[in-house]
Amino acid sequence: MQSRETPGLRVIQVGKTYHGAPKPLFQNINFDLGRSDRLAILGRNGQGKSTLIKMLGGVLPQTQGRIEWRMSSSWPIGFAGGFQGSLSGLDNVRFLSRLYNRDYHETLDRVDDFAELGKSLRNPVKHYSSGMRARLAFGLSLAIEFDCYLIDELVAVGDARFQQKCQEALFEHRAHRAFLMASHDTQLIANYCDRALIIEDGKAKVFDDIHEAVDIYAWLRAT
Amino acid sequence: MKKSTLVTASWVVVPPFRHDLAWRAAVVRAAEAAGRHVYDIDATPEVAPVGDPDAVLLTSDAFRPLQAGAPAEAVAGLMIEPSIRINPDEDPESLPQDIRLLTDLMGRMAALPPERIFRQRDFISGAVEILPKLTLSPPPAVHAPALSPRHQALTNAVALLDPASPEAIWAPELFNYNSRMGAGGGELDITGRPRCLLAGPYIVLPAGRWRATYKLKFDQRGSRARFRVDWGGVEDFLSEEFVPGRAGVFEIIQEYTWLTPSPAEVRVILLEGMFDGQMVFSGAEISRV
Repeated sequence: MQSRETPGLRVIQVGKTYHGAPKPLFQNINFDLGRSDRLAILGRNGQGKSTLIKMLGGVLPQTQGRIEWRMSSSWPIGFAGGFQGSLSGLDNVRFLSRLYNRDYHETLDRVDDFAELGKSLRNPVKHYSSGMRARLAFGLSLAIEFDCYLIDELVAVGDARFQQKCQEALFEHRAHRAFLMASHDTQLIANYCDRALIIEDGKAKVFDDIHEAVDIYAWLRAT
Repeated sequence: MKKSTLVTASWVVVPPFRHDLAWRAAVVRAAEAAGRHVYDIDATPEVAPVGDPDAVLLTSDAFRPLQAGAPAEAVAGLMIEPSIRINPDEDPESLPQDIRLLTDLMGRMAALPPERIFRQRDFISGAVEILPKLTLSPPPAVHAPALSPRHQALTNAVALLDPASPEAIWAPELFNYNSRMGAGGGELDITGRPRCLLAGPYIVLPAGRWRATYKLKFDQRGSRARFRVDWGGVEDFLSEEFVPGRAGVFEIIQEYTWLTPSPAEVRVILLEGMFDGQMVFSGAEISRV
């Protein structure tokens, strides 16, 4: 259910056209996100879900419209582009601790507790497998508390136990935080999201009924 | 030839057209002026003197005199104007049920012999002897406010319940819609789950074969979906599926035979979930085949 409080995020007429592209990837996206809302971002491959998540996370600029944050937001979970590959996991934890003004040791404990990387944290991140990078990114995202989490399919990484751990950490231990989640996993979306934004062929629509959105997305995927 | 002598009561059938109450009052006045007694058989069927030749039985149901075995010359029907005593703007919740009940009564007029039905034009010159010993004068003109567009649409729609009227237009205002962004004037945003996009208007059609002709306009996105169009009664109907395949206007013609009077329904059903799309329904032309 959409909250009536002042939205923590306002997305106004946002669009994105990549340089040299003949047409916008999408345009005129509008929605508000309350401080405990959970909005799914659905769309077939190539429709711009990850691009939108990156724009909301400040990693990519929009070419149209405004994004107004009134709450703190995570970087896109599942996006490992912020790591310095030649630095170790520990150094990356140290870097982010300073950047977000958090205690290093406390942050490290929380990262390691979640990511379970142990001594591998001493190795350069560029030597990590994709799964290890995702665990580190997820651990860091949870070690620093945010009002809103941007999630881009991260829950799909790792084994079943780790996926379960991610879901519990995000959706149960942080039940009152806001989420923006791009995923193809319709069961996960239906379980954890209140509303959905579907992007299709450059157009985006918000559906207040999450089950209706999942149904329509299923029809889109079938065509 | 010896003229037959009535041994039953006289029947006056006044279906629920727009000013039926004024005409009922005129019938009462005419009967009393002729020294006859008037009974509202719909209100008190158990005490109505069906066999009393001096009695005038008033009813809104043309089936009653037939079921009572009244001869044709003992029955007069008033189908004064092609309208109905329902204001669709007053009570939207009960409207479908009211339409069913009242149009059923209007449609039953088709059971009377055509020569026993009197219309407005029959009274242009004044009083008319509609039954032996019953001369009916039209009631004083009633000041009636102009009809709202929806009321006018309903009036136009029920015109075909007059057996002399071969066709009528059922305007978009008479139908129910299920659209994400409303359906003003029959314009629908068809975004959403598979569902019935439009249905109605539940006007009871008399037995017979009826044709529905209507147009649906789709935009490019809306034209990709699969639709089902139904014409007939609520439970028994003709059903066809189609995919428009391109943007444009598509004319649909369907015929269906009503074996008994029952509410008519035009339905357009979306069979697939739609992310985006528009459809425009501009009303239906209904005609007796």
